[in-house]
Amino acid sequence: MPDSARSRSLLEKHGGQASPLVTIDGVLLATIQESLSDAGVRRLRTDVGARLAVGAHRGLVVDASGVDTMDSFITRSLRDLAVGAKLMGVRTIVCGLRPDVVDALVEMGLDLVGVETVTTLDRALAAFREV
Amino acid sequence: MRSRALSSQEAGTTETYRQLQAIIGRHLSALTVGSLLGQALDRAGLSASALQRADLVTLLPLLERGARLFMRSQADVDEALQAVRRLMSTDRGRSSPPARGSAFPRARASSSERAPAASSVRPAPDAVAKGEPRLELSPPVVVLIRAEEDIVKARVEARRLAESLGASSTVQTHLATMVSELARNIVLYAGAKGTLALAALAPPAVGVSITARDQGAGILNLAEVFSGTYRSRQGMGLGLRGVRKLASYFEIDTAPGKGTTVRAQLRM
Repeated sequence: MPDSARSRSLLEKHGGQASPLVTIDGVLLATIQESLSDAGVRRLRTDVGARLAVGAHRGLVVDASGVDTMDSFITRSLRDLAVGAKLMGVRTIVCGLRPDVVDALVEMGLDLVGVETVTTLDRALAAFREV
Repeated sequence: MRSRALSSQEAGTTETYRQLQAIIGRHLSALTVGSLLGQALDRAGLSASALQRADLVTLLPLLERGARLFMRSQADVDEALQAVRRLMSTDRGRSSPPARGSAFPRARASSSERAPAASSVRPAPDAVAKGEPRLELSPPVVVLIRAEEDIVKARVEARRLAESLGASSTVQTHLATMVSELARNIVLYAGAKGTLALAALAPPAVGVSITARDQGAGILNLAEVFSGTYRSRQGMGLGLRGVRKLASYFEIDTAPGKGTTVRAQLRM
């Protein structure tokens, strides 16, 4: 599968940010960029949904290590993304939440209820290999 | 004696003002100098077209605050202030009452953006009551919130300011999150017509004040929003309550049809 070409085509610019989507070992990897705009979040959800709908993926990993700020909208969007993927029968793992971001979320009383999370991208991918 | 043509920007300013420009200009860019002096003058109720040496006594503490905020090192601040003091001592004889009502032109988000005390002399920092929540430098950063992209802009400015004040990355993130939330509310609920102003707190307090102001419909169910029983589709209840939880000081002023102003502080 010419995945590099496909992910390049998905590296479209929206609001100045690109959300790269690549497939590794049958797992769709979505990397969220640092200064995520709202349009970027929505675009990511659409793109991921479209890729998962094809049915070729056994998992989704959302790498949030690039995200430096998560407010209630972004948190909710991320949860919706994960919950939506799960409804499509795709196990979803969010990885790489920064300690500062987690701290702010906890202080604000926000949560990613029902979302599987791990520390690093390595661990997320390993979780799928174990299955 | 040198004689030279005045640039259009210099025309209409006094010699004292231009001397100040030169002193501060040794350490900062022309743009920053203009902003620093403009804000200090505004705060003191002085104007560039009427500034006299005698006014420098009033201006000095305000200049010091601006210098501390913008200059790279304490040594730069000391040097600049020393030069201003020398300027003060070179001519004690002349004195004229400070001009009221600033004629100094500067860009401004809106006329209501200014603190109400703009036309009076501010008290010295040590005369300020404890717990007084509205101590701040003139807003050095005002982000117009007109579209979704401005939310990111506001976050970036928040981080930049927090970083310049030496905030830890955790504090930077807290501030950026609060700012993001408040800017988003303006976009989602106030028709993207508002401003977000960030300012360093005046010493001895260390921190940042955030003022989010919009001309939207106002929040009709404030009690519900804060009791946690209300949640909008986009989750505003969570957002505003989150900001309040992160804040060291939080105040919301809203009325139906009158827009909303949120004043928050994050102390470090």
